[in-house]
Amino acid sequence: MVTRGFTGRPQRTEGAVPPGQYVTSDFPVLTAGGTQQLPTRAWELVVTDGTTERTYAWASLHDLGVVDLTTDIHCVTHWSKLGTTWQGVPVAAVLEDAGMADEPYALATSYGGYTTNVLVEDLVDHDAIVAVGYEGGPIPAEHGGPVRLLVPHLYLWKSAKWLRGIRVMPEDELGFWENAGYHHRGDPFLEQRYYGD
Amino acid sequence: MNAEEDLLSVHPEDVHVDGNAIAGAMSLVLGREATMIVLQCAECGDRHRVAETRVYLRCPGMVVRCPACSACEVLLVDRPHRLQLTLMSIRLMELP
Amino acid sequence: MRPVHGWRPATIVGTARETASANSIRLAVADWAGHVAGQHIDVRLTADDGYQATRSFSLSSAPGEAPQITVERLDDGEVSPYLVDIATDGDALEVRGPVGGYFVWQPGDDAPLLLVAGGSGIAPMRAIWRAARPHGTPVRLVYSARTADRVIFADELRSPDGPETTVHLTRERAAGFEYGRLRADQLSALLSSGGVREPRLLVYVCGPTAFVEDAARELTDAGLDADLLRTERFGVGGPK
Repeated sequence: MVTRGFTGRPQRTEGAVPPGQYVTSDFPVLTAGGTQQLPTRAWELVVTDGTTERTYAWASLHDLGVVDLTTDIHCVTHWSKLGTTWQGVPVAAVLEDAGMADEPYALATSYGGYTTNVLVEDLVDHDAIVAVGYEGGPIPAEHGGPVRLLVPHLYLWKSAKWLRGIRVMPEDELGFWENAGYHHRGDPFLEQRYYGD
Repeated sequence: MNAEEDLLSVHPEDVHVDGNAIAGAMSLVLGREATMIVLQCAECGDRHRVAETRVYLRCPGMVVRCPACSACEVLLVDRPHRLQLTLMSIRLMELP
Repeated sequence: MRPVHGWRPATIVGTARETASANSIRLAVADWAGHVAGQHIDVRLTADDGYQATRSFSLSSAPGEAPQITVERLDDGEVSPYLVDIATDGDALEVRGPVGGYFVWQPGDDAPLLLVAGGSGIAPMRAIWRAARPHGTPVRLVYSARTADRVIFADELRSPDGPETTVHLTRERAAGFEYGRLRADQLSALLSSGGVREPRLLVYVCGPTAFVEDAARELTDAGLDADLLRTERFGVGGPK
């Protein structure tokens, strides 16, 4: 059944953005509640393969080399934001420094308990960063600051806010939304929204 | 905008509503009216009606949180042809 | 109460402009078996490319009347602009429900009612006062709106059939209206009648989340038993 006259959001565009997405100029705050307020000095990232672990603080993460990244981002709730600029450390550099780039699967964990699974190849062979800045400033807490994961070629729920850990594993382990019915990989250009898409 | 007017605004960031918002989808799963069902939170033990939970709609699915401790009690994913309900932090459901 | 079974086709059979930004939409729903005052429905719209959006709206018509929702436009919304500005007779959509057993009023309890509404939170209150009136249940309404021209159901509220009403305007002063937000002392005073505390008063509060949380806290601080309070919050209608 089609509702005559209902078009969804007016700015929906075809072509440049993944199917089913509309372009927005604001940065909608997506929240499941539980926004974390973390001072930078209290933040740390634990990278582990289950037997050994490496811990990074704000400064030791920066020592790995911060890059600028300009990218489009796509949320499964149908908005895309084009040309956002971020600063961060490539996840490839972090996993390499930790000596943990060889396992196939990863689970990102957040302060507050959120989790999401990502293929290691999606972290190291694409523009995935451990983001420490947005548009030249700090990342606002509601957008996952001080430090969030950014995997821009996948739906944004893969880009864990308030990043606390990356665990690499030989087997896949589903995260928060993936367990609840969302797609295990989440490629917006293939419109992999839900499990089975 | 002053604080008084703010009260009547729907804030993009202030996103929780209450359990009435997920009652329709939950009723489908439970086969009965859902707002009066009493949940007990497995985290803090608080007992409350579904209608009194805090519901976050501005995320991939719908997140139902305990009004006392904010633990995530239920996840609801309302797909075009499938409804998926994940029980998270619930110790007890009591049907009146 | 009738159990809820998924989506059902519905047709718009009438619209009424309530204010410049609010519209009432009357629906014909397949197999509609009636509703209880205070309940809501989920509405699903489908664009011609298959995109779907679902929102919940309170029913503003009384039991026995055709199901009607009353919607205020959110500038940032995707569903409310359609329902307020574009929807017209004959349009097809889908509904689920009626839903709800908590924020409802049913005949049988003759306790007096206090309805506290913010903005389009007036919608389920209309269902309640219209349901309660034939039973002789006393109903008082306090309604907070930004400006006089955003008062929904203004004619009905002025009519002798309407509830005993006080309207608070938060953004302008106008004759016949209170000015400023609903204060704790005003809410507290409404729990009494002629200086005597009404022990059985049932209180319904509906509006945006911040409005409801403030009013509910002020009412319980003023001594209202939480069991006599029913709340319904609305925010952004759905995921964005």
